[in-house]
Amino acid sequence: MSDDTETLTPTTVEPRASPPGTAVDVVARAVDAVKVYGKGDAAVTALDSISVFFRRQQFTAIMGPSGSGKSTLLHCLAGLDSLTSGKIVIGSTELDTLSEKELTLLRREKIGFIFQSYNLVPTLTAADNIVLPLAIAGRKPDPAAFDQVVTTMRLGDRLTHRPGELSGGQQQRVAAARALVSKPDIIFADEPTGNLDSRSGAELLGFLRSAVDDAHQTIVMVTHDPGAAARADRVVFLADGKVVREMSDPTTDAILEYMKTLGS
Amino acid sequence: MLGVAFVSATLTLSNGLQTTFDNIFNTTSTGVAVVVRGHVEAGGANGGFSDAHRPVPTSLLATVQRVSGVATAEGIVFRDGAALLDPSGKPYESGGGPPQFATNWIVDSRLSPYRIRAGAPPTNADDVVIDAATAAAHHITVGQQVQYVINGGAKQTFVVSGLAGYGSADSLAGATISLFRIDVVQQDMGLVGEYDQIDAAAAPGLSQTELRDRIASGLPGYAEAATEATVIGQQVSGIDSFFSILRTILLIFALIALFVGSYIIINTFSILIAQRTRELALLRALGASRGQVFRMVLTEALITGVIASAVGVFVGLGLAHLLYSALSSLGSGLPKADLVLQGSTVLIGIVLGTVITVVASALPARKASRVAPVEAIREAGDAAQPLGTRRILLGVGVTILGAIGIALGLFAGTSVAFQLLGIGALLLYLGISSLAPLAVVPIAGVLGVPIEKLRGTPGKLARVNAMRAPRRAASTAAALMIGVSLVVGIAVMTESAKASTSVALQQAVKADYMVFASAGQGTISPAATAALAKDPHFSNVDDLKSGTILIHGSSASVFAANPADYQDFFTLDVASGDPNSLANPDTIFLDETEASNHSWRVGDTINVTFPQSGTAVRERIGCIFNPNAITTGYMISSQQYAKFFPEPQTFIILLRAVPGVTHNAGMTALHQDLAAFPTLKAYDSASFLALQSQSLDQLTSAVDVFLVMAIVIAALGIVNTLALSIIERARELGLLRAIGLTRSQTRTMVRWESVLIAFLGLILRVVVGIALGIAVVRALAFTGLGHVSVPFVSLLWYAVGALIIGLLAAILPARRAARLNVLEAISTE
Ligand SMILES: Nc1ncnc2c1ncn2[C@@H]1O[C@H](COP(=O)(O)OP(=O)(O)O)[C@@H](O)[C@H]1O
Ligand SMILES: [Mg+2]
Repeated sequence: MSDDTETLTPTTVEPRASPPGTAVDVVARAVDAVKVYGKGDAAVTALDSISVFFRRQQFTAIMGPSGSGKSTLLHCLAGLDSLTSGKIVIGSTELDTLSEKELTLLRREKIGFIFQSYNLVPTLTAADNIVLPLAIAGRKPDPAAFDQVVTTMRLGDRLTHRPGELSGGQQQRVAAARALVSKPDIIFADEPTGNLDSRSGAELLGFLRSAVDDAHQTIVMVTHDPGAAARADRVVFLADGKVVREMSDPTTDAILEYMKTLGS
Repeated sequence: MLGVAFVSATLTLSNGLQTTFDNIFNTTSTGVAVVVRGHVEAGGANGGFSDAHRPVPTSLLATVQRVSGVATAEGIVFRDGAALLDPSGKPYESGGGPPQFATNWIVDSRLSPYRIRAGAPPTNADDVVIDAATAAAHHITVGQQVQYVINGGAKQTFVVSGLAGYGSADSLAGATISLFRIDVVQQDMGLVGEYDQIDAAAAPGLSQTELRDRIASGLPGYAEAATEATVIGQQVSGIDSFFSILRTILLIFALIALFVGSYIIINTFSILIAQRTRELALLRALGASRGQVFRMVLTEALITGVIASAVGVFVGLGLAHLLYSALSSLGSGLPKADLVLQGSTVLIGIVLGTVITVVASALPARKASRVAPVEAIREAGDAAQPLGTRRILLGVGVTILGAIGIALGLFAGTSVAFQLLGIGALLLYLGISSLAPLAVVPIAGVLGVPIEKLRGTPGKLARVNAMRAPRRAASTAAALMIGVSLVVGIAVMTESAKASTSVALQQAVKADYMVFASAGQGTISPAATAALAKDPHFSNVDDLKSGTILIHGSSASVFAANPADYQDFFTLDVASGDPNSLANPDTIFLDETEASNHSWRVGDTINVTFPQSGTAVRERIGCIFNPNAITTGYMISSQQYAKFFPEPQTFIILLRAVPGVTHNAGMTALHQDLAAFPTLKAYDSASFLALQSQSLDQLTSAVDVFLVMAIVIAALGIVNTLALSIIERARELGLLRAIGLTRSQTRTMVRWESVLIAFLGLILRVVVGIALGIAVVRALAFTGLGHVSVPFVSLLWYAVGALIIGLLAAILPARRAARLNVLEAISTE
């Protein structure tokens, strides 16, 4: 259980299935990230000087009580929101040096998203939704990659359906396929299983897990579910806008135990 | 709100103008107590605003002056047709403008509304006093020489002896008034020994009615006495009816605006409700009844309606000012109008606006009340609602009803024809717009393909977005429909009318040249015909005269031609009978429309009254012809005309050139001959045709103004729908932005969706419009409109217009969509 004791010193993290820690392996990183909403008395510090990084081919879960800043961190990492101070680096690009348009292009090229719900454009078919980021960029999807993702996500017979005709689990699988097909540097998922029944949730987690193991993707996932977090390589716990603990090779029990101490 | 603004603008403007005119008549009509005049001559050419009365002999003045209680009395001549010429000898008014009255200076100031501003009243035969407004407009000063053509005669030179106001106004409602010595105007108007009327003032203490009764008791049978109050009443009612026409036209447009507006309201509320489906469902889940939800939405509409209408009323006041200045800049020299918001206008505006808002929101409200409680829990689905068969059947039914209404309106020829036409058109529009959603998917699907090719993914998204809610797209497009289809319909009609006119005239006219006076510039002096007849370039010169006859007590227009030579100038398009029988005694010809209205046939005998001479004659129908621009109504021989019309009016001179005279030589000779008659214009068949279509072109440009207004409303409708659906689709947009749609791509997407909707509207409406136009033209075929002609070039412009509207309408919504805060859009709350 030596992993459990590792805390705020990321350099000591030794994630499995990845080469020894070098800067090149770090896909995304937050350095002294501070995010304050509002002003004066109403000011809320959502991120309180957070430093954290994410390695290539690693599956990281972010956990913490409601309001601890998980979504805020994810949004800032993904360039959807800007920091009050500190910096976010994706690959070797520092986000606050980018214009709005460059940010958009970066999201398009390097980042994949899976939201809790409402992931899909309702007027487009599942297939169109999957290739949407590529289409927006004016690129043709690589047919092999497309077929592979569709097969992995078991969506072969659903491609011509519109989101309204798909179950919640299928919709999230389409969203995952969309995030995977363009082979982004990193995929952010905010409670992707939050609206799913446990079977569909477990299924989706399985796909995400295999995306990391087999397709060498990098995933950062916010979740409330200790069972889901246990499928990750590493769990980062937030409380009151701070990273309070990191855990490698987590188990459900260990997570549950720690959550009790956080009092949520 | 816009609709209400139009309505109240209309009411305010017409009320304001009307009060102003009423004031002019009430304040300027001086001390005149009683007016003596001849009896009404139906449709007579005499006079100003009031009905035309026969003139009275000058000897009657002495009779009136002798009546005890008459303080003073004078004879008056007051007629249109005094064309003032500019220094180069051309009329200032090219015709069709405000009237140019010639009248006499009234000596006794108790009887006169005219007040000398500068100079002196006319004392010499070549003196004239001009109204101050006209003088100012043309920089005419006292002592200056001016030229006139009065009643189509030769040029005359006068000296401006003075300038006068009409009461405190500079002029009478923009008209030109030229005041001459009484004998001069009598001479020039062909009224030697006659007055149009005699004005009398009462001795102190005598009431108007008392004086009228005293005068009336001594009048011969041909004359009548009326109090000044009665006369003003008649004049005012004449003006009122003019304004009620104006008001009707403007109101029709305002109602169309309201109609279009209600589509926009329906859309707005539908979208608002769609957005709040969850909230409403939650209310239902918490136990709110359907009725409660329905009432809640309606109450909201009520409040919105009242507020918007109130705003609309005041915007309307501003619009009225705009319209007023637009009207007066058209040069009609309107008097300063007091544009006041009347209580009734405010009330009508607000009530109308509110009622329409509430009615329009009833549909969305009903939809709101149908929201099932489970939708509170369910993720809002975006399933496109298919059109129910009931709706389709209803739509087809209403469409057919509308078509029947239009057909009845066109063919019934009754007094309710126009109402039928209007209701029919309304139903047709309602029906078609309820069916329109059916067309949305195929049309947008097809139109969208090139856009997708051109614009890639944003183009594709635009296409699917336009198709996603066919009803909404259809009703947004419907806002475009009404304006555009009316315009297209009218364009088809006018284009067809042009084509028909030219075909008919080319066949009918054999004269090489024609001469006539511009509208509002009097008639043609017999001297002109005589002068042209002397010109050796022309082998054949004759004129047509016109007048009014009474058929079964109602007036009809008649024209007279010389039986000996008229067929040298034009061919009657004979329907039945013998065109050579015009010279037969007591023979009349008439056009097919009149004949079929009365079910008369060649050989029938009809009673005709000639009001100018007061004779009634039994005439035999010799020929029935199809009407065209020259030959309409009734036709008699010039011999009969000479007998029955003591005041002949020539309306056209027809000429044929001597063989060997070239077209240009003939035209030059004609122009030289006409130099002495500057109000007369010469035409050859080509320029004559152009003139015929000119009035139609004017109609077209008037329609274009309506088009612009309709388009503004339609564009606002598109803006409205797009803006709301962007709010509605905030999450989707946020998602798209999150996964990499750039701002400019977002704008592209919204822009092309807008263009698609605009085109959709255009296509639907152009089809409806052309169909309507063709239907009307076909229906009117018997009046000589037979040739259907579709104005393709204009249609092309409309298409370009639709593109531009779409792009313009999208500016704001697209900006808004691009600015959307991605985080707010995707946050799960
Ligand atoms: N747009 C915002 N404006 C103000 N406060 C916000 C906003 N978004 C989040 N917060 C606050 O920031 C804190 C962190 O929120 P969030 O990151 O959404 O937490 P989590 O996802 O862990 O539940 C909370 O206290 C929340 O109220
Ligand atoms: Mg969250």
